[in-house]
Amino acid sequence: MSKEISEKDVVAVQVIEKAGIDVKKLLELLIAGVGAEFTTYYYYTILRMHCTGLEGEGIKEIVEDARIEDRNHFEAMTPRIYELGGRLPRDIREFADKAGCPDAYLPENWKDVKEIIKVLLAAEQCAIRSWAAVCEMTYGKDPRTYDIAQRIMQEEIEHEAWFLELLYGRPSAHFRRRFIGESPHAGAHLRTTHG
Amino acid sequence: MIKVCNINDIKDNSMILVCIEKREIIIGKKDGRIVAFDPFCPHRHAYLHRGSFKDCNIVCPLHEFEFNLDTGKLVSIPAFYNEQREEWKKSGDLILYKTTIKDNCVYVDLKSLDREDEVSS
Ligand code: FES
Ligand SMILES: [Fe+2]
Ligand SMILES: [Fe+2]
Repeated sequence: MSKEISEKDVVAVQVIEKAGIDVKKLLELLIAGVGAEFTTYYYYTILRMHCTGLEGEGIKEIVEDARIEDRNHFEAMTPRIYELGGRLPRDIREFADKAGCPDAYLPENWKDVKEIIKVLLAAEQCAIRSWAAVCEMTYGKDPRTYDIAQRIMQEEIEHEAWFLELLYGRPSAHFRRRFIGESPHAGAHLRTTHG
Repeated sequence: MIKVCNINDIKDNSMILVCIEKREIIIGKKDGRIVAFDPFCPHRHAYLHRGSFKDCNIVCPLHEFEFNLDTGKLVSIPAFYNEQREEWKKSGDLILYKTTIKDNCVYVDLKSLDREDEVSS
């Protein structure tokens, strides 16, 4: 590779800075956001494994959709971090410590499926708030980050609605995805075959 | 000191996000008292103007950590996070800015706007 490029010369960064974006702050928020997606994907794996019995079987598929879509959210936003001159922490422990949402631990009384759904619901609600913060920071200033964040947020909103329906019977308009982890909104930013 | 807004631009117990000299800050009015602070939560950088006031604290909208408006220190974390690792709960202090009111106008001390990470050696 030839001589080093100064970050100041990256036009794609220049234009959003000129529009008023504090790129350093945005990167912190994005790393926290994808950190939460990555850790949530991990914890949802454990939660899904513990959806047992007749009731558990009924929610396995919906948990799997939310789990894979969270992984998709990590995939959709991470390239943007690098485009902006940021990077993921070298150590995964540091990454987890910086996550924008708390660890979605398996509840002690996991045999009660509702307790698992409560954990899922809290995770989705945190994700909505965290992507809303990115949308707020980028709206009208950084259309590319905004577009990815708003698409992720749309899926988080759906995930929240699914779990609210399962817990409280509040209709969510949910009907199955076309395939597991379809990501109907954020899928536009995925470069791999997903699902 | 930089003039930011009129004292009546802010309703009591609310806050606004303003941009002065290319830097965003929050100006709030808590029980009639004007406060100014960094817009980003020191925990995970959520925008604080979507939060709320509680006693002498600002409550972050993302995880509801509470930061004292006189010291900037983290004073309370919801019990919901008791189980979480200390590393995850760790937070810096909220950056506070000095304000003065003159002729119904709010002024902010720009000197206090310099964040630690920007102090050059
Ligand atoms: S980001 Fe403010 S409390 Fe976590
Ligand atoms: Fe997600
Ligand atoms: Fe989700």
